Amino acid sequence: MSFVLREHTADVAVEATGDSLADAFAATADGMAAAMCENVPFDGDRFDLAVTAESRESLLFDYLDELIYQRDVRNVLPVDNRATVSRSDDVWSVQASSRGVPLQTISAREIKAVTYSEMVLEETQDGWHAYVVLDV
Amino acid sequence: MTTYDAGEFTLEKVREYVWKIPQTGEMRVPGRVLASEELLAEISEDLSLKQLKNTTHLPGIQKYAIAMPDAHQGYGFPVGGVAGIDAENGVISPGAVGYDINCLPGSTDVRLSFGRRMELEDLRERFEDERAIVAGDELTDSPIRLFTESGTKPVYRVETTRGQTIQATAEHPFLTPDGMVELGDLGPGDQTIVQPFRGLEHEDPEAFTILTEDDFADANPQLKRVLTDRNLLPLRSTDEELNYLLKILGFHLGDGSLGGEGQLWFYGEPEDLESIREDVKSIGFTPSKVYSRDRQHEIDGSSFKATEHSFKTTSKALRRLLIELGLPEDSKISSEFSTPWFLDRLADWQQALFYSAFFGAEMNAPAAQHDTNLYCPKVSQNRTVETVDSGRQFFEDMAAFLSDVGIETNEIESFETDSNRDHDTIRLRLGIKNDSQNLIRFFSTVGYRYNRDKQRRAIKAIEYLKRKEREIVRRERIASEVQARADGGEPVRELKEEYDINDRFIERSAWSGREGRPRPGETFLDFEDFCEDFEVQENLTVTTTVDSIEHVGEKTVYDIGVEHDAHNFLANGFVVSNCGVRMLKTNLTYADVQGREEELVDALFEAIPAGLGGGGVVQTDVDTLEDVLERGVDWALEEGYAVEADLAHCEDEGVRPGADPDAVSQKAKDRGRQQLGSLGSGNHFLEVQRVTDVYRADVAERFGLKEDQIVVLIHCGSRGLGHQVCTDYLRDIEQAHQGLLEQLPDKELAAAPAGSHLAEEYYAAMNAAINFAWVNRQLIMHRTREVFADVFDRDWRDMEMELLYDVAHNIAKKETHDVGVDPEGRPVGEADAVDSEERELFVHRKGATRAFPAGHPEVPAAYRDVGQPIIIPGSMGSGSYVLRGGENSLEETFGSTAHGAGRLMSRTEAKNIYWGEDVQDDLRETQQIYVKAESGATVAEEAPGVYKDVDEVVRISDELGIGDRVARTFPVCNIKG
Repeated sequence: MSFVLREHTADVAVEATGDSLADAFAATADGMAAAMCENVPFDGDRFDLAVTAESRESLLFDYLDELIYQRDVRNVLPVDNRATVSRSDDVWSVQASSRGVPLQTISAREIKAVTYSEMVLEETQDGWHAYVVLDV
Repeated sequence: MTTYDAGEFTLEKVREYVWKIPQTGEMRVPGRVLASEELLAEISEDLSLKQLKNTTHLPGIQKYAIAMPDAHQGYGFPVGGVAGIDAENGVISPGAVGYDINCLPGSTDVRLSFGRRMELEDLRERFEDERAIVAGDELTDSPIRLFTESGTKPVYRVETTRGQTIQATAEHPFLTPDGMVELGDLGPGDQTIVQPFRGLEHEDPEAFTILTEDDFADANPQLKRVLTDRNLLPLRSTDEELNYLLKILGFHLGDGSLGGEGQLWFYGEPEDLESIREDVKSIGFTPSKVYSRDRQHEIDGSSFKATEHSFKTTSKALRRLLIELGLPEDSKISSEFSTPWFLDRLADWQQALFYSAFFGAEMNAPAAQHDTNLYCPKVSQNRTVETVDSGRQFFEDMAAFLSDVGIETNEIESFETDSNRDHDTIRLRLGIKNDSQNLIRFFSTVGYRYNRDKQRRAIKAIEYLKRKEREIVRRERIASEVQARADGGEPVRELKEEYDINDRFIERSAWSGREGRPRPGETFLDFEDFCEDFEVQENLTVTTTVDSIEHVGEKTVYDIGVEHDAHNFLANGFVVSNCGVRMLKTNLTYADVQGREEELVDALFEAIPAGLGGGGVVQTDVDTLEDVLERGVDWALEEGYAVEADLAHCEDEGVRPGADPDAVSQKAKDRGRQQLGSLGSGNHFLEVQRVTDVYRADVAERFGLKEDQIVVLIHCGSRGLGHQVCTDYLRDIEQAHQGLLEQLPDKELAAAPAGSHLAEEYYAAMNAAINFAWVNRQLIMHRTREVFADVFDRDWRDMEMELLYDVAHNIAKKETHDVGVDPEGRPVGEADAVDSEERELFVHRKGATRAFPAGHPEVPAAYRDVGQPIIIPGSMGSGSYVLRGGENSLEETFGSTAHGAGRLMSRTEAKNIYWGEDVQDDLRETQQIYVKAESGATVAEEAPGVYKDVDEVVRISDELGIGDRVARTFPVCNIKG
């Protein structure tokens, strides 16, 4: 799994890949963390989160949105993301965990929101591919 | 024509600085770009133009979607975009219980114009040509703009206590006395609103020609031309004009007369005459005004006064046309007139137009015969003995039509009457059979037209008879149960206790049995008493009670949306954090600050929370936060963070009405709680500036600005709370209006129909977020005053640190604007408009600033005579501007102008080119600008070179007269996240 930060006129985009859908999710989340902070120390405690949604794309959207929410209420930057994605009928779920790096210990800039703009989430020959524009 | 080639788009030059994207394909209005060629070149480089075009797809959008000179790519909507979207509330009736668009199974009946109904599913192929009935203030029809299929969803069957049923998904909003409520939130016992008239099923009429020029062979060419010009000649069975003529003809046969040459007179109540006048206009003729005169009547020897209302038409062509269609030229009594020859070849609903208009004029209103029984509504006519056969034929045809649509009539009655002076006359009469089911069918499918009193009375009759029928059914059930249980040996005494009905009824049911159906019982309300208490609204709707709601499985569901009211959209997604700017004045001059910049910037940076995780000026609990959301700057005033004058100089005086903290999610509140009074990061900042130029001395004086003065500009928004509100509603709307969303070119344009529950909730939540944003900027300003007091060791009041203005530039607001309308008064795009009228709009300003001119009532009193202050922040190394609302803004841009410089370069690119510390050093050394930021990356990303030239943006605004330059400021110190 890996990610690259891409250019976007006013904002920033994350392009991520993973062998599985879950890996692509976690890579996107790591990309979002990198968009907020370039040098992340190795401290902070892990925490869990779970999100459900009605489709694959909305699950990715809601997952990233939940990470932003956790960031603001816990005052931590969620990094080293791990995720498991499952589906039961029309309900998509992600069980995830992050390491929360206290914001006071780092210099970070804010991602304000996730967007659907130009969002891509698709399976390719090399695994899963995601592209998400983040509102800075 | 000058054009500009922007790759995918070719823009047409309207005039200097005004460019147009012509309306094509699915666009509802054209797009407009306000820019010089230099700025246009920059705007063309990203997706701004495509996004502007996408925006024009939004239902209800007016005039044109506009891109300001500072436009750049955003989400869904371009940043620097303005759209005025019709904002009235309203609904469409799917026949029984529900209103509004949304998620109804295919078999749901939709009420259409001309007294028709059609199954929702059948609208798929023809919705664009149809008009659906909308219950606004009045019942009216409106074009259908959208038809969407939303896949299979769980569907529920709702039944009311009066036996109406409808199926819908849980999200389907129903109109209730408290506004729109989703079905999922309704339960048995709750009230909902229905419109009991159903109309007749639509069928396509057999195509044939009714009148041709040959029928007018003797008429002069001018008369023929009047008719051909109005599409009335030739007249075919399938022409829409015929439907109006059928109504007019039917009514005139009842309550019309011919009058002098070329005249047609119509008599009735003023409001009914207005409806007829509208229809006369619809076929291209001009009716007179409604005349009223007092008349003395004499009947059976007693005289009384009454006011008679009437109007006339004076077109010989119209009169001749109606005569050709069957209107008698002589006295109705002695003419041979009968049913128009073509009538029985028309569709049932067309025949009903003719008859219901005739009934509106001639038939008795529903009335009680005695107690709970209604009279047979009747029509009668006098005919001379010589012409009675034609009269009888007329009634026989009428009975045959009614029978075709399932309505039974009595035998035609005839009486010898007191003959008038000249003739022996016979009175003919036809009545509708008065059993409940038959009357309900008559009133709800044909009924009366052009007569509001009778229509209202018919609605009451339907409701009364349904109630009565339900009671009879209940009593039938009890009777049969009691009989069976008594036969089985249960004591009658126990049965009496068990049933909620009088003892005598139980006894008769148990012992003597009964013949025929039971009566509704002695305590059942009389019709007249019922009518007195029962309310029918102006739009002919009534309130009823939900009896049961049950799940009936999964069905394919559909949405439709109408142009009128119900289908106007409050677009979400591009109205985000309500960010805005405020400017704080001081009486300091640049000389007072020079040499102390470092001290000042450090103190400000220390005192004002910025960046990620920096906290806020105040830490709030839930109650406080709710107060802030509801009361805005009023809260700050009470808590000592503001003075009265701050409110007077803020947009909306610092309190956005219609804010509902309950519409803001817990998640949003959790985020907001820790951030109240914080700058955030990105392009948000606080800047100490000096006034460098004054362009309009008189206005600058009123604003309290002069050269060399120190001011403070604060640019930030509602922080995480506002973004969470946006995200939450974006997702809710995505789920609730999926079908609709699929028709829009971009998911980020997610929109909720105005008047829908979700739209109202979103608007209330956004207003609450705006209050939060104002308080946020207020708290920062409060801190700034404290810092200045510390640094300069003087009370901030002595430094006259007064708020100039606070204005949001990411916001949707309900405002009234002039928009173009078509000949029928419906709002349309610029190209089709023949006139203009005031409409309430949701004006969406995404990265655009309100710019109301002098005299506008919504400009705070302090500035009303010079125009609203507008604050345009520039980038760190360039100036900012203070403008005032320009004269042309209302006409050109829904009262808006630009909001800033607009980005030119991506953040990633900026970081590759600039290094934060270098930028800081450079600004300090070459321009004496002191910058302090939480993050070096932010400084690089916000470097002066990444923004458009704000001078050029403002110059265009000034040239176009939408926002006039008043003063320019230049940075002294800048702090950011």
